[in-house]
Amino acid sequence: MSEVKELDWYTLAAVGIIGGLVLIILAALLNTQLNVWYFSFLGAAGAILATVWGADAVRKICKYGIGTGVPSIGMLAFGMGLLATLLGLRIGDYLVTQTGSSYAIYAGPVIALVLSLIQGAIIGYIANAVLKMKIPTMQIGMIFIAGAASIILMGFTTAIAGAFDYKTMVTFVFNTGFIAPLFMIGALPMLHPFNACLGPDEEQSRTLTLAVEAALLSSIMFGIMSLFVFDQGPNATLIPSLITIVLAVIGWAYAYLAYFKKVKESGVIILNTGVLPKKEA
Amino acid sequence: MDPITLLLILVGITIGGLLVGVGVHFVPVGGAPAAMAQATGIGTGTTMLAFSSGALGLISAGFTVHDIYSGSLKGAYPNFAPSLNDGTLLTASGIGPNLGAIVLVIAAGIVGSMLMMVILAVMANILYAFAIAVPLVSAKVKYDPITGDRQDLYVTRGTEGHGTPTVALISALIGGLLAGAGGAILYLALVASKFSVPTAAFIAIGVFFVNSVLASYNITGTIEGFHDPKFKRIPRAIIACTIASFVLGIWAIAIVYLGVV
Repeated sequence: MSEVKELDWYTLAAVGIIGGLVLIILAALLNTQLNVWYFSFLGAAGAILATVWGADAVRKICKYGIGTGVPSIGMLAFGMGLLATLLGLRIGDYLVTQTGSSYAIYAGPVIALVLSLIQGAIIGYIANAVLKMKIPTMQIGMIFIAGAASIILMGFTTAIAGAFDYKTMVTFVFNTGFIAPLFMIGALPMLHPFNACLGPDEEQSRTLTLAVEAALLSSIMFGIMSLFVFDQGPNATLIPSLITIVLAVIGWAYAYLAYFKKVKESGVIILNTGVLPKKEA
Repeated sequence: MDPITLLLILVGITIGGLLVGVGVHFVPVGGAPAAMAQATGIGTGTTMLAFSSGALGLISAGFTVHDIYSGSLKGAYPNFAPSLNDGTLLTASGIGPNLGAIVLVIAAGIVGSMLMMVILAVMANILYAFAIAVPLVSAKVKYDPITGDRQDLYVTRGTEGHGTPTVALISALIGGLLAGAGGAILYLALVASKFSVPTAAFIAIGVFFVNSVLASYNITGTIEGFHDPKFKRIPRAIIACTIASFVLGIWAIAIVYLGVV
């Protein structure tokens, strides 16, 4: 197997933060400016970039063996991210009422991300200093997974409801009950890749390909959920949901084949030597 | 919003989170080896165990809140619904008349959580005893602290015990009691601060996850119960869970301060 240079996790963090935030804000901006819902799929795309970032952070932390299984860290990330994200988005809504400018809403995701990063830093500090886990990547890793969880929550909220403000999130994601699948299959693409690929010949490109594949699979589900949200009111339309679903299905098929190719590349041929002879000669 | 209410919500979330974190230390978590009958405890990870017991605790607490709010228990606790509606449940004057209802909700959470623990432990024990045919023993102690039964003779060589013996089962019940009470307090604090029911439930689940995962990091994934030597690490978890829940509580009261809807 050829030695491939790994992507630095700070590079992936930049991709996750900038790409994720830009795509989520762009989705909401285009939706409001053009008064359509067609760009909601961009939210899912932002969430996918954040998933890649989070999956790499999970990979870097769990390499040391945390003793509780990889899934625990994804659930921890979403537990940390949920309240911080809600508060950040609430502050965004608050700024709109205070300043009177409707553009203040776009500060919400940025504040949510910053609060999640702070929350992650606190939990990472607790894990290393109080619980004495002594994992060198824990501090930055926790900051990263909390931030990734926050962007994933906002991204898939945009995919489901077309906007990310606090009121939309509470009305169309929490009160409809979609938060339950969002919590689980939103966290799954982040924690599953390393859980599935871990082992001595685990390599970054294969794990992250699986992360993209799993995130696209989740996007299909959130596209289906958005059918309920967009099919309401006087301008009920199914087109935005169908855009999300069709793009996610096409992307998923491509990512699945790419992952399958990677698996075949890392696989080895097993030579059948038969069973051992019964008597030694 | 009344500052005393905000303080009470913060205290409620901190105590709730702390109880969850302490409760996890009592639950016999065996992890994957226990699922193969090679270690003592319930055969799954802490996260799933805490979530299953916490979710059932939340469901029973939520059901009781609903029952007191608008169901069959409305007549018995007439003050509860009005004070939940105008957000005065968690004020100095609101707690007194509603103490009975609050205790009832916490008790319901405890019952749900303990029920889940005992189902998880005893149903698995039936399978261990009659399907895999292993005795239910602990490898961490020589004699069961509760029944006094000899343990070490029955542990298969190369394993760390099997199933959930009496002491671990009692420990699981204590864990369910603490985690259920913690979950119910969390839920009640959030519902009383006028979050919608699904929002309150999922914020409670979020706090639940943070504390249960931090606690399981403290015990490095597996523990047998209060007789396990790892149980002595509990002071660290108390500090960690208090800080973590306190920070989460600050986010929550900030949302409440800005208005939940």
